[in-house]
Amino acid sequence: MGKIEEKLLLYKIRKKDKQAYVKAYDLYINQLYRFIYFKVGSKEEAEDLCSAVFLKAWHHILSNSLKDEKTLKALLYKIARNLIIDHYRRSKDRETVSLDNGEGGGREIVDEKQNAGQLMEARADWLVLETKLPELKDEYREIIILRFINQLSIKEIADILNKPKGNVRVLIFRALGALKELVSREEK
Amino acid sequence: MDEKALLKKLNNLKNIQPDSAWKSRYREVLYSQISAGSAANQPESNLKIIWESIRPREIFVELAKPVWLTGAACVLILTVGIGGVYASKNSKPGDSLYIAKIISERTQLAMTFNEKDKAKLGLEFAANRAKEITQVLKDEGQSDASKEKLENLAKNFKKEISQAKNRLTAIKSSGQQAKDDEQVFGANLGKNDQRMEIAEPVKPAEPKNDGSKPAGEQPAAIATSTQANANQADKMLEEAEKMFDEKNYDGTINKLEEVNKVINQSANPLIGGDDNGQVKGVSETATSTK
Repeated sequence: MGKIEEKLLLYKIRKKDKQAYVKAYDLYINQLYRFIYFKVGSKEEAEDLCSAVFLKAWHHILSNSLKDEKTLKALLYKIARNLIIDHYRRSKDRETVSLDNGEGGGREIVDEKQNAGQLMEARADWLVLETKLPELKDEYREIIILRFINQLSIKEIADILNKPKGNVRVLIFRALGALKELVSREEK
Repeated sequence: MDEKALLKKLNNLKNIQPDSAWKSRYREVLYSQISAGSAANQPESNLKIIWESIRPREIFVELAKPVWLTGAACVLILTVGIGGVYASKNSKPGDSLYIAKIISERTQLAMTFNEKDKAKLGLEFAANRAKEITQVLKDEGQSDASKEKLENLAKNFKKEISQAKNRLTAIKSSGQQAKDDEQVFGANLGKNDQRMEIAEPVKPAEPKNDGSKPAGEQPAAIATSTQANANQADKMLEEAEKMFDEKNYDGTINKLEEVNKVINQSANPLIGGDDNGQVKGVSETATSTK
């Protein structure tokens, strides 16, 4: 979706157009799910949190809070981050949270359009990284997901994290360094 | 694993997506959740949204803002300026607005380029000083504080009068110059006529019987009257000065007004009179004899 289309969608949502909001759901659900899933590590929890994010965002829009946000995407990510923090607080065993166990675990890699080769590749990459991502600091994991998995721009990440762009760049550099070190340690 | 390979692997992780059945199921749930409790909004067309986003009226207002602001600032400055000048008209030395009065007088003088008008303004300002003296005397009497003000005002009065005198002298000399010029010009016109008559004899022009003076004599007569008026104004100024010295301020003011009237009556050909047309007429008559 182009930037203009996104802006049109945001405009319609600001006007409390429900159909436009459902369209935004279709547009952002995948990346938001990924973001939450990689942070909480459980498919069910990610789904629950995803639905909570979209519902809470709609209430924000109704109370005209969207005026403060530049994009709906930034609002959704911010709400997701807050809900994940609440989720961490609620779960006593936050430290032991890991991505679903087992090969492929509880998650499903679903993309009807992709061919079997890509699917296999994703599965293999997942196997390499699934153990490493949870080992990263929360801050680093978050920025890796946003930048390299969900492929957000530095500006978008800066908006979501409420940090200057320079800080975001430094954070990305450090997070990538930490992940590289973890993976190379595994290889040895 | 190098950085490129790592990034590729991370990029491949974007294929991880939620269950499509859950996605479509929750889409319906979400729609029903957001529809509950609020009236459904009519979806708007993209064109309407783009038109509303552009908002030509707002753009116009936005662009016109500097113009409005400048205009408003100009009006404000003018209002304050004109109001200040009017308010300062009756001020006297020591008043906060007196400086505004003096500045407006100086500005008026600087904006006037005609010697006659300058002389008139000078007399007006001298009359103002005299009025201020009467005001100071009325309000403060002959106290020590007022003494200094009165001295300054008297000094300023004398200065204005002497400047007015200088200007009158300039007017007189320019009148004399005009008189001389007209005589020379008239004489030349006669010579031209003579030469033309030799070249092509024509009937001598019949003298006009409209009772007007001959063209060459008229400007000279005006110049003489200007000089006479200037002399009279000069005399009256001296009288006004004398009255001022005798502390007859009301008499001084009246005298200065009379001087102004005399200057108004004087017609100086070099100071915007109608006489240039007469001279032009003479030259045209000379040309027509060809």
